[in-house]
Amino acid sequence: MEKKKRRLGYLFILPSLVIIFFVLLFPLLFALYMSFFDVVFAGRSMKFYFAGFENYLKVLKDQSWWQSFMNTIYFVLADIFIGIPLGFISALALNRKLPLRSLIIGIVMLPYILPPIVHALIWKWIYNADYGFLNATLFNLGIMKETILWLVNPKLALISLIVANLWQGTAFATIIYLGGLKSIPGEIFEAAQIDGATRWHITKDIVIPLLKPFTYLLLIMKTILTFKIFDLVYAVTGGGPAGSTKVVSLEIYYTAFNAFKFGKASAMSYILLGIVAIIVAFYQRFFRTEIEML
Amino acid sequence: MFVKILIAVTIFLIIFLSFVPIYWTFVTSISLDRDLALTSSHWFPPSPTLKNYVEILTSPIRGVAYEFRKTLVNSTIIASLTTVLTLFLASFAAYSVERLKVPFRKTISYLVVLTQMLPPIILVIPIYLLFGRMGLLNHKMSLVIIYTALNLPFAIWILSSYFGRLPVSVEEAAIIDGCGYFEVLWKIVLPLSKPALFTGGIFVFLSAWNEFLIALVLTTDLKAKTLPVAIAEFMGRFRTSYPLMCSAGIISMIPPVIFVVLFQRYLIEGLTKGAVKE
Repeated sequence: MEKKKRRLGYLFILPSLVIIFFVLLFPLLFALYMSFFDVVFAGRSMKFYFAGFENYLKVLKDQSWWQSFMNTIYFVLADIFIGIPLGFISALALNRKLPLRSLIIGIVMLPYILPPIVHALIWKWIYNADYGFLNATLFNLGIMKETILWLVNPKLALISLIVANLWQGTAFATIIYLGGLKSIPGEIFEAAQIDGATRWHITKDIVIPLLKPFTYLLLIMKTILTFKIFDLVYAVTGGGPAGSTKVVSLEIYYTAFNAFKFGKASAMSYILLGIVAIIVAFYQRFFRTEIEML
Repeated sequence: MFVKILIAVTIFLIIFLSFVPIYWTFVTSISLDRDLALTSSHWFPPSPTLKNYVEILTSPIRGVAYEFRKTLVNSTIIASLTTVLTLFLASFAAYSVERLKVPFRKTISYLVVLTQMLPPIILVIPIYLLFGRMGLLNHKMSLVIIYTALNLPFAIWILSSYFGRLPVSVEEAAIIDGCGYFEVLWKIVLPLSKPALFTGGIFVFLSAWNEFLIALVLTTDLKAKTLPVAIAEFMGRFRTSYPLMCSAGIISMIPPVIFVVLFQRYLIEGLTKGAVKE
C-alpha cells in the first residue's frame, strides 16, 4: 500500500520535474559548459573550441562590462536606499482606515504589476523632450525656460532611468511593508499608547524592529530583482547615449545576440549569477537572526 | 493636528505620484496627434477622442494596428495556456509532495529560490541555441513550455502549502470508500483549494502576460510574437504616433487592472507569499 502510494506519487510529480529539468536545469548547465568554449558558427552548425577560463578573463578586463556593472549597482543602491524607505513611509501612511481603501491600494500597486514594457513606454513618453509631460509641466510652472533633454545627456539619462525604476520599486516595497504591518497585532499599539508612548516612539521602538524580517526580505528581493533589470533600459534608451545607461543584462544580450559571442556572454551570465549569489550569502550571514524569524 | 495634516499630504502624494504617469498615458491615448502639446500642458486633451482605440482595434491596413491585434491574440493564448498547464501539472506535483510522501519538498523550495533569483538572460542564451537546433523557435507552444517551467516551482509550493492545511480525514475516508488518489485530488482536494488555485493562477497569468526578454529572443514574427515585444518595436520606430502607442499600452494593462480591481486580495497574497518564500 505504502509502496504503491509512493510510486503513484513519483508518477504525479514526474511531468513537472521533466519540464523543469529540460527547460531550466539543462540549459543552465549548457550555458556553464559554453562559458568555457569559443562558440563559432560554421554555416548551420556550431563549433566549440575549448578556451579554458579565457572568456572569464576577457570579461573581467572588459571596460564596457564594468561600466554596465557599475550602472546596475546604481540602480540597486537607489532601490535599496531610496525605494525601501519610501515604501516604508507609504505603508505607514496607508496603514489605516481610509475611504476607498482598496481603490487606493490598487492604485499604489499598479506600477508594480503593470507589464514592464508599458512601464518603459510610460516613462519614455514622460521624458520626451518636445511634448513630454515632465518638460511641459516644468515649463508651465515656470521652473525651466528651455527644454531639458532627459534622455540625451548621459548623466541625466541614467538618473532619469533610475527614477523611473524607483517608481516601480517603491510600489513593491509598499506592498510588502503593508503586509508586514498587517501582521503586527493591534494590541501592541494599544498597550503602547496606554503606556503613553508617542507616535514617534511607537514607530521607532516597536514598528521598525518588528518589521525587520520584512526589511531583510526586501533587501534580498530588491537586490535580486534589480540586478536583473532589462526591459526598462532596453526599451527606453537601449543602453545609450554612448553606453551610459547600459546594465548587465543588456550587455549580455548585446554580446550574445548582436556580436554572437555566445561563450563570452555565457561567462558574463555566470559572473552575474555569482555576484548576486555572493551578495545574498553576505546578507544571510549578516542577518541570521531575521532569517530565523521568517 | 499637525501630524494628521502631514499624513493626509503624504497619502495624497503617494496616490498622485503612483497615478499621474498612468493617467497621463491615458489622456495621451485619447488625444489627437496634433493636440499633443496642448494635452501635455493642460493635462487634458482639447478634443478627447476614441479614434486611436478604434484605429488600433479595427484598422484593416497592415501595420502597427494589425501587428498589435495579432500579438494581443498571441499573448492571450500564451498566458492562458501557461496558466492552465502550470496549475494542472502543479496540482499533481503538490499533491504528490504533500500527501503521497514523495521526498521532493526541499527540492521544490530550492527551485522556487532559483527561479526567483535567476536573471532570465542567463536562461535565454542556451535556450535559444537548444530550441533553435530542434526547430522550436518562433512557436507559441515553446513560450508556453518555458513560462510553465519558470512558474511551476512557485505554483507547486503555493498549492502544496495550501493542501497541507486541509484536513486529511475527508481524504482518508474517501480512500477507505474505494476512491483512488486521482479521484480524491480531482473531486475533493482541488474543489476545496479554489483560493490557492486562484492566487497561483493570477500570478502565473500575469508573469506570462508581462514577460518580455524571453519572448523577444525566441520569437521572430507575428506567428508567435507577444504584445510586449510588439510594443517595444513600436517604441523603437523612428516615427511613432504616441497616442496610438499609449492606447496599445492602456489595452495591455487591462488584465493587471482587472486583477487589481476584482481580485486584489489574491494578488496581494500571491505577491507577499512569493516574497516571503525567498
